[in-house]
Amino acid sequence: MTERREMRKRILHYLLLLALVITVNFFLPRLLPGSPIKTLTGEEVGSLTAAEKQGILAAYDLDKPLGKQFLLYLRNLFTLNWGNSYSKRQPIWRLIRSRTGWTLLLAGSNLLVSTVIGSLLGLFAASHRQSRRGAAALIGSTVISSLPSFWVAMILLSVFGAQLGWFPLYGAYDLWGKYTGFARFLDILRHLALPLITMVFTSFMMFFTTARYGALQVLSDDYIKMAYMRGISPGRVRRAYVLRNTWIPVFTMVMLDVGYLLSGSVLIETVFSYPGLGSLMQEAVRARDYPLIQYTFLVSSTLTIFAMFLADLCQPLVDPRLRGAGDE
Amino acid sequence: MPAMNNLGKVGVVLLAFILLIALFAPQLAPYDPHKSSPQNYQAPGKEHFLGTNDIGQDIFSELLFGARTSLLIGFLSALISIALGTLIGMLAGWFEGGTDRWLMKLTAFFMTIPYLPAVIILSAFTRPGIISTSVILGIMSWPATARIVRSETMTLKKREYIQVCKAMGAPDRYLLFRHIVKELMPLIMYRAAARVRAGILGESSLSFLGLGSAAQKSWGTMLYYAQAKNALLTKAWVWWVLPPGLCIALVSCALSMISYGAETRLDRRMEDLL
Amino acid sequence: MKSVKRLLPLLLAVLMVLSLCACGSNAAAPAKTEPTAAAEAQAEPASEATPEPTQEPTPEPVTLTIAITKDENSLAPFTYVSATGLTVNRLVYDTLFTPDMENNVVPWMVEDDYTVENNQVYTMKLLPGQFFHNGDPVNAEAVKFSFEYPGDKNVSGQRKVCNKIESIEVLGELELRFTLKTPDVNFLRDGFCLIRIIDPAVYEGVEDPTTVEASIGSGMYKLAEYKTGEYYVLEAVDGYFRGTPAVQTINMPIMGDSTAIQQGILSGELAASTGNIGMEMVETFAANPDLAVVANADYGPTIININNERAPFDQVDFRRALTYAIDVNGICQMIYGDYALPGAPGCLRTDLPYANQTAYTYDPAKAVELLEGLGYTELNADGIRLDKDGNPLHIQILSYAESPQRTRICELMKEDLAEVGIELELVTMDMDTADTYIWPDFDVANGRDYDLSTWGWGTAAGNSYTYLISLCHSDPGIGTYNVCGFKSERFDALVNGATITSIADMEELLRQLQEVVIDEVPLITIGCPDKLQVVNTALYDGWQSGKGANVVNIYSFLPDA
Repeated sequence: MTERREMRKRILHYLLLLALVITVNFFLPRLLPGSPIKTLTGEEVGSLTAAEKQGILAAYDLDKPLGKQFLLYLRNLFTLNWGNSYSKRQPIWRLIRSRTGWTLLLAGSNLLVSTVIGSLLGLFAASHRQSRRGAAALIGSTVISSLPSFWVAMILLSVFGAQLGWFPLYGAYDLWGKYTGFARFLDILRHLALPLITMVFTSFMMFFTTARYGALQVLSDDYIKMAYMRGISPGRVRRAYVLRNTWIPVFTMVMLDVGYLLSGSVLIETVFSYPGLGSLMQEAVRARDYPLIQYTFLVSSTLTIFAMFLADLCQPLVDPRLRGAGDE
Repeated sequence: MPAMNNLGKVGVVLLAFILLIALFAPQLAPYDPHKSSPQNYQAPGKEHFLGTNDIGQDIFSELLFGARTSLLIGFLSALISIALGTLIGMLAGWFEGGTDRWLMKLTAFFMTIPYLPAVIILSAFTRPGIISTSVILGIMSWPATARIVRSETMTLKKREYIQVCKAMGAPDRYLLFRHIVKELMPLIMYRAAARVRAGILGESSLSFLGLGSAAQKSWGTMLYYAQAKNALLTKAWVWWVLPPGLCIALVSCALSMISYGAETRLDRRMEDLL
Repeated sequence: MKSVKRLLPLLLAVLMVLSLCACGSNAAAPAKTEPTAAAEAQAEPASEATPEPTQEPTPEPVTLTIAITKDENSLAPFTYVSATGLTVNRLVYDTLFTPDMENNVVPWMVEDDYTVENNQVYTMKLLPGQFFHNGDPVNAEAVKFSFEYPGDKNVSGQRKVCNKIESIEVLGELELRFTLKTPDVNFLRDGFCLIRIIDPAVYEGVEDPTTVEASIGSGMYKLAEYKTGEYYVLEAVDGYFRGTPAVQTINMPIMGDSTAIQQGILSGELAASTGNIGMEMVETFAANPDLAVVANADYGPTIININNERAPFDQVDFRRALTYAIDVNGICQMIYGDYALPGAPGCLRTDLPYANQTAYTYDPAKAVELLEGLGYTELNADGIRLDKDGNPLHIQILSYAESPQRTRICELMKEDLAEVGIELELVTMDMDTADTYIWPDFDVANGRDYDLSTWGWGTAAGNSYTYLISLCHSDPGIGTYNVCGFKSERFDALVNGATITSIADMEELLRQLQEVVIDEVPLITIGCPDKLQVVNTALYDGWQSGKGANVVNIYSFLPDA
């Protein structure tokens, strides 16, 4: 199986996945009980006659048979004519673009920080497993990751945001002071801090356990014992061998959970009023805003597929054992 | 590692303790947790060990009965998740080829669905309750288990005694469900602990978003009402917010410790999976 | 390096413990948070006004930060989403008449000497000096356009009002005359207080008003900035015809989480919010000298719908039994404390001048008597009554999963009903899903599929003279709020046979209707919870509030007359 063929198979696999996602995305919102009529007309929907309501649905092509609506959906999707949201009355593309940016920032930094902190802690816990410090790292990490995320969020907001005033209470950036350049960068960091810390508390554990386990395996390996016996310092051993060999499982872990991490956290976004994709999706579902639901799901799924694809590509680079061998 | 085994034992004891409390909740609880009274928002005192909530129900009794619901949802969702993941992973790893490809596509598809929004949509279809919450949590989390089980199955397949049995004409079904599953058990147990933990935390998150069954007594719904009644902004956080949160944390800890203990039995097999 | 790694989990644990301790001290020592908030206010650049030290009187602030609880799109009359949007866009758009702080209708854009003939012909003259935010003048043509344009567009509330008008004559630059199709005593409140005056130049010829992005009104504030999902900035209109507003800029972050909003108010970062606070928070806020709790009557009732078309609820004695079995006043007290008006079987607020003062009686014995009279005499092992076929009396109540308060009401009801042998099953579901059972397609003519459900109507509904009629009339065209499927020949006859020529006539009809309703029990009204809000008086002291009004209203921002 040449590498080219392998690559083509892989791309085909992901394209098929994408096609499936696009199709499901169309039907999913329509399976929800209720209809967008209340969102489309406003509060006093009860005062409209049945004929008037029908007319409004017709104006949005919602009275056509399902098959026809599907074709319209496909056409709009591929001509990038995504239209306006039913509930927000704005071009969907614009809505999604700004929110996606913030979600990527939050999710991306969470991925980075959780991986680093989790792996370092895991490594530490493994290499000091006989000592009290290692046990402390293990127990401490277990306790912290056992706390429910919204609980942590509310407490952080209350203490560090409201009482101590170190961090702002809402927004992704200072809405009223228009910062630019470096000041803006710092401002964004300041607003990112609490949501990020909350997310890290809950997601670092998976990297911790993986890194720790990987390190444990390697540390008990024969060739590590040989290295110690040969007099190579423990520090060098750690850096040279253990570190390199825990990379792989951690990276695999990242790949497994990237979808979950990227889907945006509704809880965090709600508590911190952070304008991300998760809360947009939730509002869309609440309003039965069909096009918005479809496109936000699509964007989220596509990002995930893309990340999985990238991870697939990078895996041989990271793990020499996989080079040249077929994966599936 | 002896230290790990000790940790595992501590975990087991802790979990057993909590399970016993949940089991004997009707006997241990001083009040019926559903019984309301005019004494609402009471601080802890002689009559109410942890005070009362917004409709005068005894918080301590709620906590004890809540253990039942939370643990039940945790275990049930883990069961569903593990069962599905194991089945799919085993079939994919055993049969390989086309079956494997299609099952892996299915797995990948489930992994691309954004988690919480999918949960929100699924909740809109079902009536909130223990079963539906468990099912939702379960079916949103089986892919990871499936992949791990698949890799392990592929390795196990190559084992000598399996090959011999096959050569002797043993049917696939027999081999799969009699031998492979047995070999997979330690791995499954390890994953199960993680999933129960995730199930309990997931239940509380769903309740917080208002997607759980608000009528039931669970730690998650206790936190939901505490948050809705602004307990965090008043002194009530000590007796209304802290206890359920700590209980959730305690069970999660116990399960983690158990999984550390189980680890030691897995040995080398884990290496190939990761 | 190593020691840092070691300390990390311990440090985090210590931080958590410290923060938990700090959390508790929040309520215990509210005075302590004050210096922090003030210091913070001074440190932050452009966010809010710096309160001066105590000796001098507080000068009028330039900027206030007020949280808005929902994203209401561009705040335009065709794009707003909920009652919050109506509240805030009243600052940006003007209406011809407006309710004052006593909830009486007063002229706003027109002279005091308007005339009303037979409740059908309204002649009025606009006050001079009014302009739209883009400079266009507000004249009779613009007003005429505002009442005609929405008539065939998708936005429902305004459409119904516009279609009640027969003709609008422009009598002069600023004068006009409205003629309604039929006399309507409620039009001053339901029509002239509702329709926002829009600029014809912006909407002329536009088929779909939701596509218009600009939000141009003639109100005291103009919408300076709007960022979807994030915030609004309102700027005062200099030279507004009733006086330049006292607050120059209002920054409104969109914050969906009520805990975060209350944190913000406690810390001084927010001066107010469009939303409510819970009654359990009143003590905490009242203890803070800079904050003031504002409680006002709100007209939206919380009710329990009964499906009158389904057995056993189709028997009036069963419905009566429910009202005796459920401790309605007790539930209202438990859920809302002192901040609600307990409901009455007449379905109207008891503080209205024409309201029937009969109250709910909690009498389980009487309920049992009625139930036994209906044939439910046998009890099973769990104490639940059996019907003639031996089936236990098991009924369901639907409630929104998003509303913890309503779910609590259901829990309390469950206990009360268990006492008399009725088993109540609580089913919570997502709001929109629940609506499909209770009010399918938002049309009462489509039937209903539930036993009982918690429900509520908005302030506007409860505030109107037509509320009771819309609630109980069996003709779907008239009884548009009749989600209970109530049908009473007596009620219908009274409404159909009445000739209303004045408010007094209307009130007399309502008195008679209430008597029917008390007797025939279409539903149960738990109560009318107050609008409970909190404002920061140190940052700004011009807050005005009144019956049925939010603190964020036009009177709060008018300069002192």
